[in-house]
Amino acid sequence: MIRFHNVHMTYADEFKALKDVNLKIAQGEFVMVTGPSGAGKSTLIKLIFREFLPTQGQVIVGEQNVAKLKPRQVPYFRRKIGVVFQEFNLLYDLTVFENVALVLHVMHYPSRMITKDVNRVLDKVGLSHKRQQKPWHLSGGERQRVVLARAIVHDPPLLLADEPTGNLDFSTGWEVMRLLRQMSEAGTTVICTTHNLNFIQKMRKRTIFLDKGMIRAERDGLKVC
Amino acid sequence: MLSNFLFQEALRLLLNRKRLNLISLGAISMSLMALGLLLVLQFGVFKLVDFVEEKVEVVAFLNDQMADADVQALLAKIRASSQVVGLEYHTKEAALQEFSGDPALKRFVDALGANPLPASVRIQLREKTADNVAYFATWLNEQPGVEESTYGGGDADRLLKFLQLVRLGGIILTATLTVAAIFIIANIISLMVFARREEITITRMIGATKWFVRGPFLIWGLVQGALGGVTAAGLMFGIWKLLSYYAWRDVSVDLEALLPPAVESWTLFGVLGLMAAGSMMGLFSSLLAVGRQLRE
Repeated sequence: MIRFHNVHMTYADEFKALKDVNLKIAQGEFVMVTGPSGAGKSTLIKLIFREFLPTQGQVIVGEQNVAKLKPRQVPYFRRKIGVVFQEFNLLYDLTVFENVALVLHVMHYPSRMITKDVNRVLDKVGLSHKRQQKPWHLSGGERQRVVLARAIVHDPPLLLADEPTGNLDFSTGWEVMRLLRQMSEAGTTVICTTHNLNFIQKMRKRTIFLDKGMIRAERDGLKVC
Repeated sequence: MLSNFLFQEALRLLLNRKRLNLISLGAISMSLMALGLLLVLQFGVFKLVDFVEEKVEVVAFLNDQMADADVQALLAKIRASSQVVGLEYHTKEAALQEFSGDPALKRFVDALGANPLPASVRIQLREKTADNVAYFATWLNEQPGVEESTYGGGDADRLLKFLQLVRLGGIILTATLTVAAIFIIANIISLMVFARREEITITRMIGATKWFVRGPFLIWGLVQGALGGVTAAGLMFGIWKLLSYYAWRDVSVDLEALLPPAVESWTLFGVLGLMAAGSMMGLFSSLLAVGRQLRE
């Protein structure tokens, strides 16, 4: 599903965010990425999502080398990926329903289908009763669940979550983690970055430890490789 | 469905951020009004140029000794020129007849006891540009039997050249003002786009194409431009009516007579023209502004 071949990423200010990263993630896998601040976790996510291009090496998603995508192909590529960020990235003058529906509008879904799919996914994240509310009336956990609903409403084969629990307390964060695990069990490939070791311990999923842009260790379930 | 969504988004742009909307509407209206007034002035100058050009004719005065056959040969030669569209031959007697209406001249002719006026040919040219008229007059002067040819001389020449310069200046000023207006409006729309940059980033993140992002802004630009056109037309109408009223009341000048029919009657055509110009301006400005944000 996802392969990194000798990937280097250096920002314009010469900061080396990733150094010679090699990685394989299979279809349907749940992978957690952890490490201290500045380790390169978000850069790794953004490379998959094609927000950045690698300075060196190849990032392959599916069968597609993301660096070779033409600009006009990028929107269609991104529609196969759901993204959840630590900052909620919601539109605050739209309702919960409209925020989630936006993805389907972008993908030109017919309106009847939009209503059906948005209601289904809001049920799934437990926010049906808040569908007509604006995001600022919601708690942090609820906002993150709206973002998650928006990320999965079109059933993408790949879900990227960059510190999805960063702004949440443990129990609310755990709710989000459970939803991500449900997605993975339904066949979606999930890559989730976190610096919270409690979640890593509790989730018992494959974990990649990044530090200073390099993969320092990998753990499969509970065993350190 | 897609268009419904884009229209809803465009409506949201129009209803939210009322202050920015008012500023951009004001800028579009003022720019269009300035353009409209400039165009009206341009029409006035065009009309004046046409009027002056219409009056320009070349007159050739003939030698009194010329035989009838020679006169006919000369007239045929002039008629044969591709530049000539009309020709009038005035005999010495016709000239005297024409001038006898003036009592002072009649007294002068009576005192002389003979007709001092020469026969003449008045010629209308196809192209009445200053250069062409002067060239033709020179050619005419060289013809046997022609004493002198005139076309109003240097005065008409200078007036035509001046009016052509004014016309050219007006065209350059109109073009400059149009470009300036587009940049001003694009900058105002940029503020609108900048205020929504986060929304644009999120929409791009979830897979929106550039055209999907542009859509609502383009519709918004079109609507703003059309509204600006209507406002400008209303303001121009008001200002013009006020000016016409005072011009007629205070100095007995009929300003309405100076305008071409489309503007003169303030028909639907004029308003639609301003709306179309405003819409195009709004559309083009939106394209510029959103394009800039999408590149950043």
